[in-house]
Amino acid sequence: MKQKLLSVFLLCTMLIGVAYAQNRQVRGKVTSAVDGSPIAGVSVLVQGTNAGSQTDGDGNYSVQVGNNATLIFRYIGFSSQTVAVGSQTVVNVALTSSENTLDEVVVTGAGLTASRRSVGAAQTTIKAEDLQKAKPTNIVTGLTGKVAGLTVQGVGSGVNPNYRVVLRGMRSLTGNNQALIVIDNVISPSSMLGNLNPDDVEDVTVLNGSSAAALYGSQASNGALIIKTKKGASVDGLEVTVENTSTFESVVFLPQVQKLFGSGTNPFFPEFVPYENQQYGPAFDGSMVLVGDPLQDGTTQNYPYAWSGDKDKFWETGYSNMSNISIGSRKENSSFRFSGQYLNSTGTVPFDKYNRASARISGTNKLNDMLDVTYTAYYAQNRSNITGNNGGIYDAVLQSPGHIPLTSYKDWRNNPFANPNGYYNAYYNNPYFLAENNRLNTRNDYLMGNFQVDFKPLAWLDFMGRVGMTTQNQSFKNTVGKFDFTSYASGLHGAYKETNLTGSVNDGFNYTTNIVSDFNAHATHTEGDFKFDYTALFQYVQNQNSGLGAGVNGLVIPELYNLGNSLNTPSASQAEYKARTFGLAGKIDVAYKNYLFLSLTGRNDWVSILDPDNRSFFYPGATLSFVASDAIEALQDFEPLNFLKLRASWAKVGQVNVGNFSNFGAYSLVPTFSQGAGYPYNGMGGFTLGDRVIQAGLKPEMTRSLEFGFESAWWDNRIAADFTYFNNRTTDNTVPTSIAWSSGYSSYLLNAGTTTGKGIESRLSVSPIRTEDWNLTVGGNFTYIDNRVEEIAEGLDELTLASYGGTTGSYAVKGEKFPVIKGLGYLRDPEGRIIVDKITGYPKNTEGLINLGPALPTHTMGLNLTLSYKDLTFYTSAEYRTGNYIYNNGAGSFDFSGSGINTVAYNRERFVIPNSSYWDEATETYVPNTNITVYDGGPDYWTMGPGRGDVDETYVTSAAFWKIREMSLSYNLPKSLLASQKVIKNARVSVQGRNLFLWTPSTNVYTDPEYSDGNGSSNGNAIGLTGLGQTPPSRYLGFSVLLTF
Amino acid sequence: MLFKNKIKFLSLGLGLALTFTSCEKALDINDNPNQATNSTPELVLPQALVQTARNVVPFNTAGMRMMYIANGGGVSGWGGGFLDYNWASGHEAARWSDAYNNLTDYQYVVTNSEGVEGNEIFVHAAEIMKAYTYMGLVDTYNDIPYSEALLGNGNIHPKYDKGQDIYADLAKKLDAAIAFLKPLTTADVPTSFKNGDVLFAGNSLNWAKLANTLKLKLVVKGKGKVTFANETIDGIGILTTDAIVNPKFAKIDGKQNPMWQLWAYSASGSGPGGWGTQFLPTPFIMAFYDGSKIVDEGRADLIYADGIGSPKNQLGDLSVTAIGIAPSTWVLHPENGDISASNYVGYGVIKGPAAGQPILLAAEANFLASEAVVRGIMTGNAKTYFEDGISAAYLYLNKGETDAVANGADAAAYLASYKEENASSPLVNFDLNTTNEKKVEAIITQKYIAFNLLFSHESWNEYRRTNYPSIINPATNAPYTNSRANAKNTFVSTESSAPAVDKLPTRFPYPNTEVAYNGANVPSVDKFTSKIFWAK
Repeated sequence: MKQKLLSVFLLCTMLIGVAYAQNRQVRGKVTSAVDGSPIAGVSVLVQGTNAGSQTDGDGNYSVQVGNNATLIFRYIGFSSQTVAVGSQTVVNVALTSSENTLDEVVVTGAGLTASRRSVGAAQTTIKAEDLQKAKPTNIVTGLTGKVAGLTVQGVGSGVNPNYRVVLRGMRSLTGNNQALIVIDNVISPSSMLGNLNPDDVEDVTVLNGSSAAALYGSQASNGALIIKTKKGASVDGLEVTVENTSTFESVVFLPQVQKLFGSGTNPFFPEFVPYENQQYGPAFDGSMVLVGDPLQDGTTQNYPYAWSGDKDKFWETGYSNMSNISIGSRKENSSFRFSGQYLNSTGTVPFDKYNRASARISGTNKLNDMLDVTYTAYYAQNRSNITGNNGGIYDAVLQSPGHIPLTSYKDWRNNPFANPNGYYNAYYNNPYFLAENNRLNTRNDYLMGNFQVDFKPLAWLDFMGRVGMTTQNQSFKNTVGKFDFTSYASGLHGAYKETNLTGSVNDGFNYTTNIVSDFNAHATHTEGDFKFDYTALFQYVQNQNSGLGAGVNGLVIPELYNLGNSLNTPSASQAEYKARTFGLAGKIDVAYKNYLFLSLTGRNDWVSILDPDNRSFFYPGATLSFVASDAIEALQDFEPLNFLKLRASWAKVGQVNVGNFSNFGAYSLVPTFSQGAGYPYNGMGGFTLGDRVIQAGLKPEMTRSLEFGFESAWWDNRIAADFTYFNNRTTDNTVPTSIAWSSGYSSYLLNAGTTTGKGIESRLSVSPIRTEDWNLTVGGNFTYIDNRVEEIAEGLDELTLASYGGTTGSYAVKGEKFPVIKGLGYLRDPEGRIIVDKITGYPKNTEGLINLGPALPTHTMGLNLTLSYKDLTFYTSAEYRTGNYIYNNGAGSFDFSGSGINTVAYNRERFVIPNSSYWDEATETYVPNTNITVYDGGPDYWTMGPGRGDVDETYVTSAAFWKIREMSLSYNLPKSLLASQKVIKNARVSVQGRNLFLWTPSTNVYTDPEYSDGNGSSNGNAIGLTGLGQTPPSRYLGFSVLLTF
Repeated sequence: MLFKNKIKFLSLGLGLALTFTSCEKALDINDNPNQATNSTPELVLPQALVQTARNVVPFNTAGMRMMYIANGGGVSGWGGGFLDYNWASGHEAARWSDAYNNLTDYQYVVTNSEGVEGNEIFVHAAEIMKAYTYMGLVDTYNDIPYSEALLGNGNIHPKYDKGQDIYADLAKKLDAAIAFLKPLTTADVPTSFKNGDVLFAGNSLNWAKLANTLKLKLVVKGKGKVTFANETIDGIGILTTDAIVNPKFAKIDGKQNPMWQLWAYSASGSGPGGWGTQFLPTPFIMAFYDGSKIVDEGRADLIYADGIGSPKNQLGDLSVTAIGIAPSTWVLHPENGDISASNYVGYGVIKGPAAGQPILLAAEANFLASEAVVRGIMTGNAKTYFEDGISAAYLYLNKGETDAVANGADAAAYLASYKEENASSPLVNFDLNTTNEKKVEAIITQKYIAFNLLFSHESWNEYRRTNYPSIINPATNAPYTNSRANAKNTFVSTESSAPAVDKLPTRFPYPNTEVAYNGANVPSVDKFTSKIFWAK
């Protein structure tokens, strides 16, 4: 109710308008300096008054002016122009495109805009055409490698991959480190990224640091991606665009497997075993061999004992088809756009399917001279039907010996040798069966909308009110099929055939609704050479989530997936969360002579998730921008320099990190009780204390960030060079430390921990060729980040972010880079040689975990090249990352199965462990080992735990890579060709590819190191780990046709 | 203009003031709708009792791996020190965390019942269970945090108290409980306690007897090493019924009897997979059934699917090819039809999904009393207690899923024939033992038989305290060599890496979490040499 009062009050304030008398009309036309076409929607303002107008569809305007008036023409993407009217009655203006110029109007924090010259922190805007060059289905992939300081990391593969977007490394030890996502100025959940229609995006502005982003609130300590959607046609009138893209997806970067040996498990003397998964048998010789046990009717299968190649052919070629339509219109006082997209795809994992459909309407409307409204409504739905057992499938494929005709086992229902009863492998089930028998059916509906009113009663005063909402509705049905093994099959070798699959079904529904409301008030005044802008912002955020799930194990009737189809009692679970934030912020901008800009901000947040005593916190910021090329006379006359801007910023941002994206940190401060194991029994409840104690008076984490940099353009804007140095320090990290169980609890949530991040971001863009027909631009960006953990907590030097079985994993370690991979290493002598046993020649592992290297890349470089000749354009982008390592959790399985390429490095012969030594008792020294070979060069060595499989160091490789991310060739049908008709305005065909080539160090025989598995931890900070849960990464090749009417 | 501004600022101020008060209320939404943030002793105590019973199962498994079962065929890569006792630092760490986690709940009951009118029985029941759990921890780890434990962030680095001192303090707590419970009548027990008492259904006498039995256990084990304030065993007597916790376990996912869940079938009917058949009984335990040491085929038939004919292996022997009988060798098979989650015998060690889980057997109480009489701790007839112990053990195996003796078992007849078939065995016929030491050997050996697959960890404790059942070769007066040839005479693994004379380790290492997060207080121990204070 009281919020309503406030709105009424604000509205009242808005209505206090004062009109100034005008005495003369000026009119004219605004065109583009590039091609002379009229530009609609240009703001025409009379300087120093509240009067103003906008150009109509033909670029015409008219405005009332007083004496000695000066007109300002502003349009995003173009340089603003100021014209003294004098005695003219007609003022025609040609606006120049503002790329690489200082007068480009850019989005800054909290939906405010400013000229680029006044911005005091690093930010980059990527336009739609650059995002869309390789026709990604997810716009994030279009950002990869294009912005210094921005790291995009794949966290999963499959038909709807997820990405993690991080700016300037990591800050929070266990909390969220991902960039804030803002769509049309409304804070949105990051899950929206994968569900946006990329064609709707007009541009994406990346705010690297927290200073500019701070006005969005506490989540912005990680920087922000500000996504702006298209609002109307690009030109006047009606415009219809249709586009279709077909893309083929194929698996690349498969782990390297050996192609020399087949089934067998015997050390010392290889022996062929027909049903064995391990591949330590004799070398392939091409003879016909028995595969598996005979069927119950005595039938057997025989195949040549030779590499079949089926292991790599298991992965299928995925296909996706994406169709877009958009209808846009632009008139004098309004613009409108409708767009729709349908995407249908199949994946590389057999039976995986995915589709997405979306529709958006958006527009702007100028109700009168003072009132503008802007609106967007977006609906998207996706449906996926994928397997729930990626890890099991991947493992089962790798556990198939090389001579097995694996792809012939797809039809497990009809082929008796493919049926689990008759499947040859005694220890690993048919991957096709695993894929088809474990299904995840998910449907997601997203509805997103916002409505904004801009009210400008006076030239120096304006107000904005906006409500935004994002809601996600999800339901899922996860099923496991029932399967009974025959008694014949269960009596054969192996284990999995002994246990029938009883089947299960899990159903659930949940929704998440995020509401963000903003009210801004802005006033401006000029005094001599100083111009002042005052902005007040009020924000209200409410996040709500609720979910219900139920499941039952043990089905009665096969293939009927309903909770009622069981003799067992279904189990159910429920959770709901709600959190609110109020933010009040102020901003004062002072400009001196249009070349020196100081901006001061301050924001106070009130959050519901902390104790009343601690829930209010304030954080200030300041930025400074100095346009040296305008201020210093000597530079003005220096011909090659177009501009040079120096900037500096300092900010503090608080973030409350006690939860995750689904619980928002709600209810984390009070210890809980839960029903004990098995409770309730027979109508009787029983509760147990939770295992976590919480520090009284938990506070938000504070990130202090500092940055300096410059931006410059040279030689007619042919060269652009930017540089930024940044330095972050986050204190009071909220850390759930482990404590001794004898305290009665295992976890203690407290404020402790300090992390730091410093580094540089730089960008260089060069256009060496710029002629009428030819155009060549080469760009690059380079980032260096040194991310460290300064302190965790008193008496605690390391924190497990995520681990496999409680040991090997990703850790935050005091004084080390953040994060590092820790695991068992080889026991080494003081000279670093691997110590081997004097008799067996086998190495040993260290007693405890050792640091196996940092997990976050320190050096990142992005390169891109655009070459166009007339209507033909070639584009490519590449990325290089280095300085980090990755642990391949699946690699132990490759070794154990004898599938990995490493297991044939010595052709299964006995060998001397390279760079090894042994303890010589006589001399009491470590003697270089030149002659003690391993006891067995076969399975005894490659599968043993201590000394091989347990040594995590074996499976840690450099995560460096060079990757050709995107490549495209597009052709716009020449205007001359289209001139003969009036229907088609533009036509374009293109071919494009993504993730095309990868180069890694030769030690990395496993997978694309970009993918990370550590996201099982809710915050995803546990990077540097990869496992079999991710199916192999893909390469995409496609072609598109676009027509504009 | 000025006036207007004043109004503007005034209204702005007013508006903001209104907003803030409303904000305060709008922010008060942090009450957890998903989980309870407070509870009551009435809701916590029953849960804690069930958890104590659940914790017996992994303790038992750890003990089974020491003295009763061995690796089966068809499996390679045994790790975790199972075969060589070379335990890593994290070995059985969950025994520690399970116990302290459980103690936290009992402590909650004590703290929230103390001084509450009518809730004294909650305090004492919780103290008895704390004594039970702490005793289990001392017997496993010796010195442990006690006086400064369970304080949460009040003390995250609790000091370690001596095992002896903890024993002495537990005895005091038990004395207080006995004194309180002894005079109570059924009418004195509040309904709130009765309703949630999944152990004795509110029978205060049984609670008192449980306390008395635990006190007896402390004194028997600690006598001569612990300075007890009071060593007298109360005349109320020992527990004569099995202490079985049954909250109404049922064939529902998560609500099954934990032994059934582990070794037989899940609620949905799937077996334990490879796990159940990976282990075999040892020839050493079988010697107490198959006539090598004692003839007792009947009891073997109440324990193993194929009785004395079940597949066996000595721990560490990797040449074995036999695998266990699905779902596991210690689940009895029905006479008709294949065994399944719905077709099973319903008694034995692994009874059924609805059976209760014992935390202390009447057999143990009797054997403790028998030993106490022999050692002069209490008065009575050692032989009677001894034979009652054997009968109680036999009857427990005959108890069905309802925790009542099934299939018409006759303990008296069984005992008579048992004694007759082993007429010359002093391990069965108490009177044949002429010395106290021999009597103790008979008592502990019978306890070892009674605890087979049920309280195996207690057998391991008793072995370390008394060195019975004996693995000494009478010919050499030294332990039998841990070789395959001596499989019936020693349970020690052929792969043992322990340096001691008996080739056995002496204790579990402290858990990693304690070393990592309370390192300054953790005593330095060696799994092969450091002993529990009562150990021989």
